[in-house]
Amino acid sequence: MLMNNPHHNLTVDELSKITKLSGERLTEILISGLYTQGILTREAIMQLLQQTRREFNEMLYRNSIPLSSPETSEDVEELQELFRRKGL
Amino acid sequence: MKPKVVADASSFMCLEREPELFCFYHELFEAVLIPGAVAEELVEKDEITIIQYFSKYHLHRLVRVVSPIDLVDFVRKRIPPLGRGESEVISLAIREQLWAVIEDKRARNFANRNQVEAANMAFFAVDGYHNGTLTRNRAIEMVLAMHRLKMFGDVFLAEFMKRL
Repeated sequence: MLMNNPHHNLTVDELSKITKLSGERLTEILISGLYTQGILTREAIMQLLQQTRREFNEMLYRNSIPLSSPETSEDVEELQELFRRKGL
Repeated sequence: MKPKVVADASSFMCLEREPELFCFYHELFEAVLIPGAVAEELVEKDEITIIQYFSKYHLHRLVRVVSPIDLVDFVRKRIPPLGRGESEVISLAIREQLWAVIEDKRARNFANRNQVEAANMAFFAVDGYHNGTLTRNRAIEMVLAMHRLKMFGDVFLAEFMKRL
């Protein structure tokens, strides 16, 4: 798809801004696409995603990288719902 | 009363940068269960056992590894994009009917939308204060530490501080 539109020279950062998805999420979608198109087996996808996830964990949690997206009003509602369940 | 919880790798990894904060696990929880996939994520690069990992932070008596985990169907269908560790955490939380500790917002929201109660460490700190297991100062310390470690932004910080 990207090859046929004017955005084919986008960087990951630019694509993230357009789609409002993090680089990690974009990677997951690309890898998932390889599965749905029958290019890779489910097992291979799992292996790749596990690797991606570990690298993401390393980057995010062990190196103090800020979370990719700020909290939305929907996120706040989820949190407030949790507090309500706890009676707080 | 302190809760028993299931935990993802994220909060442990995050606290590795400020190891003195690991004592909060003792202050907040009665017991912490982690699935095998989470244990693998924690020690993958260090060439140590999971017992050595938790001994290093004095958590070896508090944390128990549970394996194998049968993934529940709705979770299995969500791989990808859920990671293996998160999938096992959610499945174990369902099996044991426990709350899950997950720092990743996307995985946490997915859990909550599927009747699994999941929250981050800061949430448990606020809850601990209201339950009397944590002093107000300790709860504030925990919330500020997790914010400093960039586990959530200013909007969530305000929500936590409102309740402290």
